Amino acid sequence: MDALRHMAVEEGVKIAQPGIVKFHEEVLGSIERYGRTHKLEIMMRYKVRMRQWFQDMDLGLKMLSRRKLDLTPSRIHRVEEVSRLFAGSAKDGKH
Amino acid sequence: MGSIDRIDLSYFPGCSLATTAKESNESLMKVCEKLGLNLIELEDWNCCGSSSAHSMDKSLALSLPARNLSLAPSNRPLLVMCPSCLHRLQLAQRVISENPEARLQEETRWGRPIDPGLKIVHFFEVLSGIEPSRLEAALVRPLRG
Repeated sequence: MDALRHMAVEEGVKIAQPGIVKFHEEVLGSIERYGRTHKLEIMMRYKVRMRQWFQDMDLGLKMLSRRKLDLTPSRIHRVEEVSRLFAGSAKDGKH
Repeated sequence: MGSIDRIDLSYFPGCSLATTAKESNESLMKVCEKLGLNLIELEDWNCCGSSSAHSMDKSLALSLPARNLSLAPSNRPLLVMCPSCLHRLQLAQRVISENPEARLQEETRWGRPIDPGLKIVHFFEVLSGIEPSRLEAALVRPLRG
């Protein structure tokens, strides 16, 4: 299944559900920047890209109030070790 | 409780246990303390890549968890609580142990050896292997009716 997904990404096949790829790109972008995922930023960037500005806002606020979303990212010390993995990765695909 | 030997384990929290599932992390810490399990957080651990890496890019899906494996000391098991992280770490270890070329590539990339025999275990596996006397010593409230 993964092999088919990779082939589709590499060949730039038209994506039936573009939101899924955009979500994965945001997750990978977060790992590239911090070495870990920063969920609040991933959600916000994803919503902006999908132009769903206010969708799930209530859920996000609820998660924030329960301290389930950190406002600032947790980043690893040697982030450049991880960032350089991303040169030329599928994350940079244009969809 | 004071007399039981402490057991050292490396610990990989993963992104969810550190944030959205922090209650689970807190529970784990409390239970491990009672059971005498000494969790030593993997120094400078990174995201295992999650579904996004293995859905999008095969090499990220291997190298991200491989970095964590390269950080794990081989003299103690690596404990993982998140089932998804566990799966990604174990799969990477399998690739590395079955493919010498992939192992060499990852060891060169990270500049550290990777022990293909490192035990990577979920908390429940550790729990099921604990001798009854240790469990009994840690018991706070028995469930006898």
